[in-house]
Amino acid sequence: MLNDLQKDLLTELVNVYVGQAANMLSEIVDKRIVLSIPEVELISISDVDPGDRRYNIFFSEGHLFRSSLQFGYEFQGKAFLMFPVEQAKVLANICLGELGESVITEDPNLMDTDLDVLKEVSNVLLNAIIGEFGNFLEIKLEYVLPDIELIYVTNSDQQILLQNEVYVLVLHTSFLLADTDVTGIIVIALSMNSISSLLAKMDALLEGDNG
Amino acid sequence: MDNLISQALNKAHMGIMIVDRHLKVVVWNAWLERFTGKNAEEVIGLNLLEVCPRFKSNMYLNILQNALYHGQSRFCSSALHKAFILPNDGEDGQLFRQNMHVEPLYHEDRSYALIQITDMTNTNTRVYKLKNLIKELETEYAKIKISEKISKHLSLHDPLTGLPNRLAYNDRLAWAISNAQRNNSKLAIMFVDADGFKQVNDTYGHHVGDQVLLEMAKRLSESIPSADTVARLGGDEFIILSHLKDDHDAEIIAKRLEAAFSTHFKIAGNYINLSMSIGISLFPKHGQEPSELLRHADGAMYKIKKNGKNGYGIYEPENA
Repeated sequence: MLNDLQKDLLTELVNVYVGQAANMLSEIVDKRIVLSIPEVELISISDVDPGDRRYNIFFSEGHLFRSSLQFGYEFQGKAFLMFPVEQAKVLANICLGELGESVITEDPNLMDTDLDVLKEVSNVLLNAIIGEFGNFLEIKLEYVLPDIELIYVTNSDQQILLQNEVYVLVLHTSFLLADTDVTGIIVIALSMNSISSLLAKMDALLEGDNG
Repeated sequence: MDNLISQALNKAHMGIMIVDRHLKVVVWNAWLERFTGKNAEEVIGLNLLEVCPRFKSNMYLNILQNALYHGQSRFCSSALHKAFILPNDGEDGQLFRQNMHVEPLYHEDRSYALIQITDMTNTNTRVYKLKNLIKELETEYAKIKISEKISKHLSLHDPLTGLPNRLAYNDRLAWAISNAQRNNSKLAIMFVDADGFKQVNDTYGHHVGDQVLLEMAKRLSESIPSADTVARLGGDEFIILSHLKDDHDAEIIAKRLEAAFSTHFKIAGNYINLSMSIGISLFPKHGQEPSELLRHADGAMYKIKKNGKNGYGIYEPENA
């Protein structure tokens, strides 16, 4: 759906946005956090190849931490940040300064405080991306705090995770902090109109560059 | 209606304040009055930074600016920030834990920031207690797992030699027989008994006797293929379970065992000569049941003992 130039531009934009979020998180937790989005794709979930390892999170059974933020009206959609629960626990532990053996725990006990930490992290991250998309499109966005939930995904309901959303912008996220590599995924489900306006804006920018 | 809303704000179990674009306090509810000791009348109209000095930090100023100018909502976790509003009476701020929600509000073309403070102190204390409890339980669980492993080992092994005991041997024999039945393979059951061991104990004492048994266990283990099993039944009685390609292989192993005991034992400066009597039964030739095979091997061993000891004998059905 995205051509190479659009993909490059979007990856660059998103990396600038998450860079700002990483700085904010670093300040909050007083640790150096490097956040990167190596790849951005605009796809239809039904086109995703289940054999593609980058999409493991959609197709593997297990507990998932999911935070979601709905935004509207002109640029409309819903953004999700998803981690397998073990990765979410590692991220919470690092933010809370609880490194060591608990980082590699096989049995993640996510407590209230951990969930609050993850809520704040996703708030900062999703705010940065969605807010900056709003600025990029010169549209005022309205959105509230993200909802967070722990869900269990079974083989049959992986697709339900994102049902009704035709096209999604998938950002493969990687948090590098304190010798750990926490990888999750950000999925932004956009309405067709919003996709069109995003593409139109990007094309205008690219044409400007070429001209 | 205004009165109703202000009653509701004052009844809320959280701190609720509203600031305008200049960070001037517009609303200050009863929860905040109780917590800080500052009344709404003295706070409203003041700059938030004077009333709550923690908001002077860049991080919190940015959060407020983003809400007032960019419509962003923010959540701050007590686990990362501790407290935002401190009590007036000099109590240690470190003791308090608060979550904060910041949301934009709009009224008559003006924007405001709604700041909600929730006291999480008790929740956090409970969480930390629960975390400690989980850690303790995990430690206990690990200890129980280790002792389970130890007691399982003890119940299936001979404490002196560390070899499998009768219980473990019976289990392995039953498993080996059913496996051999499926694969059409052969087994040998060998009863091994030291000749004149009682005399060793009587002459040198039990301590030396135990050392001899340990040495016996070592020589037996080293004389059989690694897939085979040697177990100690008790006293000076050992039993070997051997997997065979052919029935004749049993004799090869028996000869190797004899050879292993042809040299003397040197224990605590004593040279001790000890020979073995070995009785052998074969699966499937001499029976299908573990008890039957053990009985035949035992019988073959007694026959060797009766006929002068120091040797091996294979069970002979016609003479049984």
